[in-house]
Amino acid sequence: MESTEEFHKKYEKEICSLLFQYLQERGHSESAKTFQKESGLEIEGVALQNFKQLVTDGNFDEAIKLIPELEDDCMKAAQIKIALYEHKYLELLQKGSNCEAIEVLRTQIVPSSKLGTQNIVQQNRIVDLTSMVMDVEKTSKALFPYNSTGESARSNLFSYLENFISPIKMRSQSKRDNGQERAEERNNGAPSTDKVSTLLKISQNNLLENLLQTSLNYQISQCKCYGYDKEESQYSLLEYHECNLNPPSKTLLTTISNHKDEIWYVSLSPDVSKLTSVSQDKMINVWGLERKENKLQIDLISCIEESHTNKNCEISCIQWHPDSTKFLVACDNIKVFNALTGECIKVIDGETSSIRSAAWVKEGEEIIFTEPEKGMRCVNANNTDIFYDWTGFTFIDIASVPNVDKFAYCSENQVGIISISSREKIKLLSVKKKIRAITMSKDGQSLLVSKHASEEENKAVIELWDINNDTKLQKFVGHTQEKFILSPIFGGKFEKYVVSGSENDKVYIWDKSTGDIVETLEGHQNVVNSIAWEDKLPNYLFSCSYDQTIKIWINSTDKVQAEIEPKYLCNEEEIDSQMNDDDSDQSMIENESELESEEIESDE
Amino acid sequence: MKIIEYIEADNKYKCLSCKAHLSAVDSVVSKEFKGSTGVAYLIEDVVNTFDGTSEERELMSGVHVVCDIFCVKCYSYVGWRYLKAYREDQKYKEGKFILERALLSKETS
Repeated sequence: MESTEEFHKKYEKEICSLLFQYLQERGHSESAKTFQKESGLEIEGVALQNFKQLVTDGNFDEAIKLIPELEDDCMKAAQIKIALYEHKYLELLQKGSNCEAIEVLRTQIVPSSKLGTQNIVQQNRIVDLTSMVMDVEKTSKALFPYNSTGESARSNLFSYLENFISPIKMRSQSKRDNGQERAEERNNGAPSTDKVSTLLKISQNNLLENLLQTSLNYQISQCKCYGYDKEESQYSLLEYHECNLNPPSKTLLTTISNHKDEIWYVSLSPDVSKLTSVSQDKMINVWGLERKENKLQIDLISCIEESHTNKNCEISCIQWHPDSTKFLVACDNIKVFNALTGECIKVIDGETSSIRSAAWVKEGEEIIFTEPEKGMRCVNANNTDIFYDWTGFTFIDIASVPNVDKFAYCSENQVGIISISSREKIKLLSVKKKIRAITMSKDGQSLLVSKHASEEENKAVIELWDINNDTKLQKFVGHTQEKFILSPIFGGKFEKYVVSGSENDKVYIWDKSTGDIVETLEGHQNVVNSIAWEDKLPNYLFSCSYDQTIKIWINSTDKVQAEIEPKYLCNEEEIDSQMNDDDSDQSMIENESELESEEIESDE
Repeated sequence: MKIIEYIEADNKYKCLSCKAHLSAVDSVVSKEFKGSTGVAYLIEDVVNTFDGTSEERELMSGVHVVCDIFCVKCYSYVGWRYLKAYREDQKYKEGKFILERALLSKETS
């Protein structure tokens, strides 16, 4: 990094121009004038002012003489010259002096149309210009890139020409003018800050604010604590934030349960007012969440029974509608439930009786779902088919996010992307074998792919893929996944973290950019299979497990309490005794099978 | 949710009770085996099953170390697999699976 002195010398003119633009845009015209006077700036270069005057007066020939002073680049100078000649031609035609106009075309435009061997003006254009004689008004609109009719034609021409004059040339041009002045100043031991002489024209609006915003975003993205325990309002423009702190660890706030069997999924509604938990006991609980100062209030809103007929079918997926009032549950068919009342609003049947994955697309107007035995289908609110793909591809999982025009699908060996509006397959990613689940990031640019152990990797791995460039960005290891599907999620602000459950009873949190394990949360007593962490509720992480409980985790530095009816709070001892019951069931199955096998004889 | 694999072949055998894919018809090695329910097939590759306890058993072709296999989805018994064979001419069975035909449903497309 340069010292402040060097930085100031290099960018002095630009800094002053930015400040001037800021003052002007904010309406402080008096301050802007004073600033301009004190810093000795001129709003425009002298030569440019003269040029502007000549163009506005219509004195094109004189203006053309000034071009070499404005622009050094031959190509651009020639283009300015041509533009001026063409405008002169146009004005003559508009006046009605066709003969003079044609004279201009022959003697001035055509000779200047070539620079050495390069064509500045194409042959077609000369022909088009000639045809203008027949109908000036109509053709001029088509040929000139600015509005060349009416009162403001000449000032439009000037604005168009300004694009060809590079600001840096303006700076060096005036340096030449004032070069002598500066040399004298230096000899006389003048103050170290040179007097700038011309302000630069800034084409973007609010440039100062944009630059400061970019700097702040950079500081935030470098801070490891952002999204963990620091919120955006804690960063200030007045203080450059550089900390090497590690994010604080998470501790358990409370354990809640209302289920009598394994809990499979927890899912937060998009407006983070509700949490659903789905369990093997076929009950879906909807919990209401409310954050009050340093309390988190949790109420049980409704208990819904998901009654499916096929007892071998498991609830495979639960997805909230973007408006947070309803959600869909996929099992042997898709049922949409109202979150508050618990009534089943809609039932969508598939072709087979096992639906693996579903998602809302187009702001909740359509549902896309996959049936591994049949294919993939998209239906709209009236249950009519929008499209389907029954080509025999074994669709397993789909991932979509709101406001992004594509969704991802996967089979065990392949991941592909489809555009929602055009229904066409955009591309296939080069992800290889043993894919179990996919999750898309909120900006639609990257995809988390959860994979099983395969020949390449002996253990389960989660990979982060860039959708646009088809590259693997990062991989996350350490967790165990052998028998169950554990969907990973993005977590924290800017989706800085990747979180997944694991079959060794822990919650794993990785840093998305480095792939290192930030933390593992212990406390569950069985497989942790689903996590919910939304950045609208950034300090709370919800995890659920086969031990029939939902655990809520907060930062160890937060002073928060949970407010919930005591009957839903979990006692650690109770969980242990329930676990022992389950074990005895398992051993009974094994005993029966041994009896059977003694009777079997094999024959060749 | 349990991991259920899907076989990408036109003809496959599925678990009779829950229709989970078990094997492709092409990977059947021999159809001349016998189980408790009748005819059984010796198959190279089977998915969506888990093992019961392994034990030594006296079968018609000799003593082997076998373990029963069950469907991952519905836990029902579907057959067994060979872990170890003591006689040299039985070694080819090691690592392969037996599925009892009466407990399967065949899907052809």
